[in-house]
This record gives sequence, C-alpha cells and structure tokens, in this order.
Amino acid sequence: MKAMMIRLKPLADHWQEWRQPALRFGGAIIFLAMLAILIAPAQFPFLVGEPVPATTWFQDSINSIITYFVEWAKPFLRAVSAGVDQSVRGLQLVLHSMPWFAFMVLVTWLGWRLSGVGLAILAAVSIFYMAASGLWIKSMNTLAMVGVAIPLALSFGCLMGVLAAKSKRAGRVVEPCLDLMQTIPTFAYLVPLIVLFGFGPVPGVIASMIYAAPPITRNVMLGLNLVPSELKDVAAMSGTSRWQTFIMIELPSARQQILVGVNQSILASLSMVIIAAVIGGFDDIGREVLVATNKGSARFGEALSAGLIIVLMAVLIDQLSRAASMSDTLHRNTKQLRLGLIVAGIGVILGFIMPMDGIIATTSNIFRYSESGINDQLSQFIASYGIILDSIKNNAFIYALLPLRIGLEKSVMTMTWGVEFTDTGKLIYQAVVIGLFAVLAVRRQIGMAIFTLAVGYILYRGFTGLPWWAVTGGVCLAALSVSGIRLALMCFAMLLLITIFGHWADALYSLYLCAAAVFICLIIGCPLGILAAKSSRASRIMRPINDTLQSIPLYIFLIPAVALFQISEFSALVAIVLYAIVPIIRYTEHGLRSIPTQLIEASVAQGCNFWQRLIYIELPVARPGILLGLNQTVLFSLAMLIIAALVGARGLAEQVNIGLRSGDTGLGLTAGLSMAFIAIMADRILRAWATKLGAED
Amino acid sequence: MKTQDRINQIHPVKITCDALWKVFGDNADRLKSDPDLLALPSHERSERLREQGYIIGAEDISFSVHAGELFVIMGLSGSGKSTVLRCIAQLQKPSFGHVMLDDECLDTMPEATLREIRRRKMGMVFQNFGLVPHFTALQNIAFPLKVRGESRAEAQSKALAMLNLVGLDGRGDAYPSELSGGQQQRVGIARSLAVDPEVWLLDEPFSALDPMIRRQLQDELIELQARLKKSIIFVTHDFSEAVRLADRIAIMRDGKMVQLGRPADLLLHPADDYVASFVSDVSRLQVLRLDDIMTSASAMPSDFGEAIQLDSQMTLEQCLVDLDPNQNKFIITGEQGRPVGYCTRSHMLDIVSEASVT
Repeated sequence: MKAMMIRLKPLADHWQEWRQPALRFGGAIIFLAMLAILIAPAQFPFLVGEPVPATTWFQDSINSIITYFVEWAKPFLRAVSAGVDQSVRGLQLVLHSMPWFAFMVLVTWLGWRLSGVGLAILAAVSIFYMAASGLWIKSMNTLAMVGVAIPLALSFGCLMGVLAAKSKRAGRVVEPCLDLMQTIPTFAYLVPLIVLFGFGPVPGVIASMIYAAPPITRNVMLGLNLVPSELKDVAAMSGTSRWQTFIMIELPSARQQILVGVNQSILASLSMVIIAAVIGGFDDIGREVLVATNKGSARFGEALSAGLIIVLMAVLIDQLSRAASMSDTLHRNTKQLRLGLIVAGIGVILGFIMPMDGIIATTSNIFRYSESGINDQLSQFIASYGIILDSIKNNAFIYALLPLRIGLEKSVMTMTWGVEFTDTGKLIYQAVVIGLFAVLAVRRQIGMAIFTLAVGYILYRGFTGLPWWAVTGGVCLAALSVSGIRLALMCFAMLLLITIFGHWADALYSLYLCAAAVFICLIIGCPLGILAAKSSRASRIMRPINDTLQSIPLYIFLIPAVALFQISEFSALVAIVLYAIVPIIRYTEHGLRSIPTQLIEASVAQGCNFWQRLIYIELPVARPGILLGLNQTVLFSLAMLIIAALVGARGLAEQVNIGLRSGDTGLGLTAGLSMAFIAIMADRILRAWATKLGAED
Repeated sequence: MKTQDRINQIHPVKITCDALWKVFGDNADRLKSDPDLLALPSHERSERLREQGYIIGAEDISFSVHAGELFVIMGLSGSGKSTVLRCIAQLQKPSFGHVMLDDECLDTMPEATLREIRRRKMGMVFQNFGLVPHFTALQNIAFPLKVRGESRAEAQSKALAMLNLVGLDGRGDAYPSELSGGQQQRVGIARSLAVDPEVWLLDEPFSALDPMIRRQLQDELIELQARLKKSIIFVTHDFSEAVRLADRIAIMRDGKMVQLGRPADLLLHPADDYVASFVSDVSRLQVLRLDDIMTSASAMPSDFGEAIQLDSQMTLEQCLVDLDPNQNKFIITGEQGRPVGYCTRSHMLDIVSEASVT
C-alpha cells in the first residue's frame, strides 16, 4: 500500500500545486471578461452572441440512422411489437371479462392475505372507486399495460444487475447506461420508440421497461456486491460450482435488497405507463388525466377523479408489493387462511354470476354529477378569486420570473414595474453589486463574494443573457474546485455537445426555470425540514404527505397547477415545486436529526440559544446532507420540467415535446440528451461538493 | 530421536508449499509469466517488485505438512499468515511457486478438478464463522454435502452426527443469529468436517471468541484431533494458542517465514529477537517436555549413579512440582520403557530460570 502511495504522490502533489492558481486565473479571466461586456459590449463583439456554431448534423444523422435501422430491423421490430401488443391485449381481455365485483374481492383477499385488514380495506375502497367512478375500462387498460411492463422490466433489470455484478467488464458498460436511462427525460426516448414500434400501447410498455429497469438493476448489483466475501469463500471451499454459489448463497443473501428494488421498479413502471399516455392510441387512465388537464379548470373534476384513481393505484400496488416481500414474517393459522379463501371464492363466484353493473351505473351517474359539481365550484371559485390568482401569477411573473429570465435590464419598464430602469439606476445597481463583491473579497469571504457577483449579474442580465463562456467557464471551474480535472473536462465536453446540438438557448431557458423552482424549494423546503427536525408532531404530519407526493405519478401535479393558473409558465413552476420540494425537506430533517447528541449538548453547555445553535452548529454540520437533498431536488425538478412542458414550460422540455409530436427523433433525442447532461453535471458537482464538505468536517 | 521427527518419518507428506509467493497490485496476475522475474533469486525479486510498487503478501514460503500433523502458522496481523492459508486453499492463486496436495499440484489444476478436491479432501473454518444466515445450523452443516450431490436423507443424517460431534445436539433448527459465538463456530467446525476431509484448514477460528470459550474450544480441538488425525493447518495471531496446539509452528513477519520448528525449538532457540519477544510470554514449565531438554542416552556418563526413570513426554512442570525435591538425577525413557536420555534437576531449573532472565 505504502509503495503505491509513494508512486502516486508526485502526481497528486503536482496537481495540488497548480490547482489553486488555475482556479484563480480562470476566475479572474471570467470576471474581467464580464466586466468588459458590461461596460463596453460594443468593443468586444466576440464575447457576446452565440458560441460555437450549432449544426443540425447530429439531429439529421440520428434521424437517418433511425430510419435506416427501422428499415433494416423491420421484421424483428414487428415481431417484438406484435408480441408486446398481443400480451397487452390478452391481459386487457382477461381484465375486461372479469366483473368488477369479482376483481374487487380478489384484490381485497390478496391484501388481507399479504398484510391484514388495513390493506384489505384500502384495496376494496380503491377498486370500488375505480368501478364506481365510471373509469373502469380505462383503469383496466392501464393495469393491462402495467401488468406486461412490470415482468419485462423486472427480468430485464435483474439480468443487467446480475451481469454487472458478476463481470467487471459488463459493469463498466451497465453503469453509464443506468445513468443515462435515469437522467434522459422519459419523453425523449419515447420519440425513437414511437418510430420503432408505432403508436398504441407498445412504445409505452417498452419505455416503461427501460425506465423501470434501473432501480432493480442497481439494487441487484448492490445486493450481490454486499454478500460477505467470507460467505463466498465458504461456498468455494465447499466446492460449489458458480451456479450453485449464485442460487444457494448469493441470491438468498441479496434477497432483501432485491425486493426493495422490485418495489421501486413497480412504482416506476406504473409512473412511466401513465406518462406514456402522451403517445395516445390506447384508451387508458393516463390519457384521461391528460385530456382533462389540458381542458383546464372546465374539467377539473374529471381530471381530479382520474388522478385520484392513479394515486390509489400507485399506493395500492406499492403496499401490495411491499407486503408481498415481507409476507414470510406473517403468521396466521390454517383455519383463518381457509376461511379467507372460502369467503374470497364465494365473492368471486358471486361477482361472476351477478355482474352488479347496476350499482356502478348509479354511482357513476353520481360521480358525473359531483364532478360537474366540482367543476362548477371551481369555476365559481375562479370567478370570485380569479383576480387574486391572476395577480399572484402576474406579479410572480413580472417581479420574479421575468427578471430572472431576461434580467432587470430589460424587464424593468414603465409598462411592467411602473418605473423606468434609467441609466443612472443601472449604474447604481452595478456599483452596489461590485461594491458588495469588493467588500466581501477584502474580508476574504471568497465564496460569498463570487456568489454575490453571480447573482448580481444574473439578476441584471437574466439567465438567457448569460454569455456562453461564462457559463461554461463557471461550471468547469466549479467542477475543478469541488472534484478535479476529470469532472471539469467531462462538464466541458457535455456543455460543448449541448452547444453543437444547437440547444444552447433552450438549455439556458431550462436552467432558468429549474433554478427558479429549486430556489423556491429551498426557501420553503429548508424551513419545513428544520420544523420537522425540531418538532416530532410536524414530522409526523409531513411524513405521509411526503410519501404520497413521492409515490404518485408526475402527471398528477399538473392537475391543481393548471386548474388554478391555466396553462402558463407559472403553472409549470408550481407543478415542479410541488414535486421537487420533497427531497430537500427530507434531507434537511434527516441531516439535522442525525447530528451527534454530544455536539448539541456541548453547544447547549456553552450557552447557545435555539437560533445560535441552529445557525452556528446544526446547519453547518448538516450541510453535506442538505446538499445531497439539494442535489435530489435539482434532479427531481429536471425530471418534472419535461412533464411541465405539457402545461407551458419551454426550453429543452418543449423541444423534446415537439420532437415527440412531430416524430422528429433527432430533435427529441438531442434535446433529451442535453437535459440528461445538465442533470448529470448538476448531480456530479453537487455530490462531489457534499463529499468534500463531509471530508472537511 | 524426538517424537515429532518420528511422526514425520512414519507419516507421508500431505501438503507442500513450494517457494510460494503472493504479490498484490495492479496487474499482479501477469507477473507469473515474466521470465526475467522468475530468473531472479528471491531477495532480488522482492526488491524489484517493491520498486515497481507491488505489495508482497507472502514471500518465498516453503514447508511441508505431514499426514496427521497439526501445523500452525503464527503471525501478527498483516504478516501474511492468512494469505498463505488462502493460497493453499486456492481462494487466492499464488503468484509464484506451487501448492501440492499428495502428488497433485493445486494451483495449476483445472477448476473442476479443484472443486472435486474441495468437495472430498478439504475442509475450512473461518474467523467470522462464515455461516449462511438464511440456513439453519443443520442446513449449514449439510450444505457441503448437498453441494456434492448427496441425497437429502444421507446429508441430513451425516449433518446430525456432526452436530452431535461438536456437542450441539438439539440446536439443529436454530438460525445462526440465534446462536452464541462459540456455538456458531462449533457449527462452522462441524460443517468443515462434514465431508470427512483429509486436510483441515482453520483460519483464526477462535480469534473472534472470548477467552473462556476460546480455551474450551482449543481443548475440544485437541480432543477431536486425537480422534480424527487430520492434517491440519491452523492460522493464529496468538502465540500461546499456537504453542498449546501445534506439532510445529511457522512464525511469519512481513510476508516472510522467520522460523519453523516445534514449540520447544522456538522456546529454546528463538531465531531472532522478534520470535524471542513472543517466547518470553509463554511458560516453559508447561510447554517443554523432558525429551526437549534431555541429553542423549549415548552420552550418559557411566558413573551417573542412582536415578529414577521418567517418561520422555512429561512436562517440566510435572517433574518439578510432583516429584521429591531431593531427587536430582533422572533417566528418561521412551517407548516400552527403553532409556533414551538423562537429565538432572539442576539442569531443569537452569532451563526454566533462563527463560525468566530473557
């Protein structure tokens, strides 16, 4: 070990020597260049405007490759498509031919058998709701897709996981694939799938398989890698073949971990099947939500009802699969089991003999009535409070979103703010920002100084006004300072690719919306997390809400946003915040709660009051954890951004959607890849930062 | 002739380590085919390897273990003792050199043959017990039998017999988590013996147990070995344990074998200060036997005079504590009461007091 360290040391020393100068030099150049274009933009034309010329070469070649591939692999694609299609239709037929009552009894019995009365009641209520709301056929169609997608995803994911865990070479291929599968927005790979498999349920099922595979793959890998090496030695010394070791030792040891993955995969699969409804061509519940949501507040009731079914479905499937994975700890006597089976059998038979459609015919009328009632209520609400809602939306837009996007320089006008941003005003603003920077720099708070300068500049010029070299340089320097040259180079290559794809402006827009959402999440989420950490009652209230927010498919977030704020950028923002706020709350709470008691007692002993303790001790110590939460929030908001494109988000997300609608694979994929790049960069930098902070403590 | 030497002569060699090396580092596997390296004498080879940044786990280890012998490899952590054992078990492939079991070379044989040998001839006990958590005690013991394709009933009955052998009757249905550390290692021992191996490898089997249990299991091991007569390689970091159990001990330090010999040899003639530092903690009274310190009968002076006869396998403690303190001269007898040497009380006392000086 020592010898190896000695061999590596000169390299590391070398790097340490020029790391600081490199950071300073790079920072200084960016600072000067920004100063230059602020003071005299006309003198430096090469510093403003588009970066590297964009080409459509990538998009065109992707399109032609796909076209060529489709031509070449037609028989195969047709066969796969037909196979999946037949399975879905077959399952659909089975589900449709089953009377709702029989199905309800069956699932209820399953819930009771696997868990107990609680789950049984949940199952009964959920299934009854599906039938009673008049959306039975659509619900069953969704279930048919999920029913085919789950086994596909699980077997595909397990296979990859085992391969990756067993062979280093395969692992090296699988790891980056997983990263891409999880970060490329789901819509983006729907595009080529439509081209490959046509409209209808098939691309949705395949997309669901791709999207739901990573969790199970990762958990299989983790589980297999965590098998104690001593156990493997034991197996080897007992003379097991590789297959025997795998079946008798490794798989059972990894069981719990794999089951966690199964649960996650099942939820992801449902989520993706719902998302795939944008493709159309299959009359499922996701389609219902989508159509109703797009009609806005006029059909809020319908959207809500269908959304509720999706939520119930997700919760039910989640609970059932969790219970199934723990059922061996359950002890029930044979008499009870037999009784349960008999009751369930009678119920199912009863369901088949007497379809009881009368009941749901009545109830579905009631539901229709109450839905239109809700719609009326909402219309009334909007009619009476519309002014307030509109003013919230407009004010947020004028005073926050617009300046963030195009900068105070352009957004402050008599028409919007009621005042003119005069040249004197601009000069004062610049002086204040630079003055603050100077003060902080003199006080050696370099991090804060740079932050102030960046925020000052962004507010002045807006995200879309950021020069490309400043973004590229800033990101690379950040990567360099938190991790090293490798990450910096990777970021550089990714940013370059985004530029070459021709998505630079869109990327900046997406960055802006994402930043706005993350900022709001931080402002609301951190205090909520602190509250939850400090008060057990608050924590108890928040936990189930967070659980639900995390397990329901992304679409649902659009419903309230659109109902209240119509199709607009602001609705998109609201939807993103609703979804992305959960991790920051959770990680803040967890970070604060896992501070060693010793440390807290020490600070109390030193006479800190509540706030001093929070600010000087707890928050700094919990910083790495909170940073990881921030990382999750960024990733979540990027994931939601793509969905939010349906209700008014623009930028990369919109490009992906255009690609989806027009079948332009090149456009959809490059825009999707660009989003994936942003997500990967954000993820790597923030994680490296958290690690660095953790190491410093 | 010393007892041990006699055993070695009667019993054939079971396992041989022949110039065994284990080198760690990137691409260490490729070293094996490097002819330049193979041509070098051992100290130059190790120098070259260290220069290239490799870490040497075991360096030029050679020894033979005879059938029925209990051979202990003793060393502190990082000395390479477990590496040597794992190379013998082929859990790690040696970088240079060979491991022979009977006449077969373990490190070059195909995987399938090795598997067969492990199923029939080898048993291994692990430091942290290595019990499969999702198997019961009985299933754990039956595991190697099941692996080699024995029928359920046969495996079951053998496993039960093993369970009785280690004194765990009736605990067969317990899961490892429900057993104490000592009981878990008993299951580990039973499992390793289930296939009735010729070679028994024990990798610090008692290190994870508390002293009381450790002592108890050592006694049981001695008892078992008296009955089963396996060829044992036992790895430990505890010198007193080594002395208690071993027929012969190999002491390792920094990947090299410092000394190889019977416990009495190590006590009486430690090769260097390092070995001596272990030796000083052990009571010579309990370890040394009369045949370790006696003078050969052929050199006995004719006027030795009146003496009582003692068995050569008595420890000094037994002699000095139990016998009449006025009796000074002893004739040492071997098998069938034949005199093999002589010894005086003052010589015994010298030997013991020498230890307290060093």
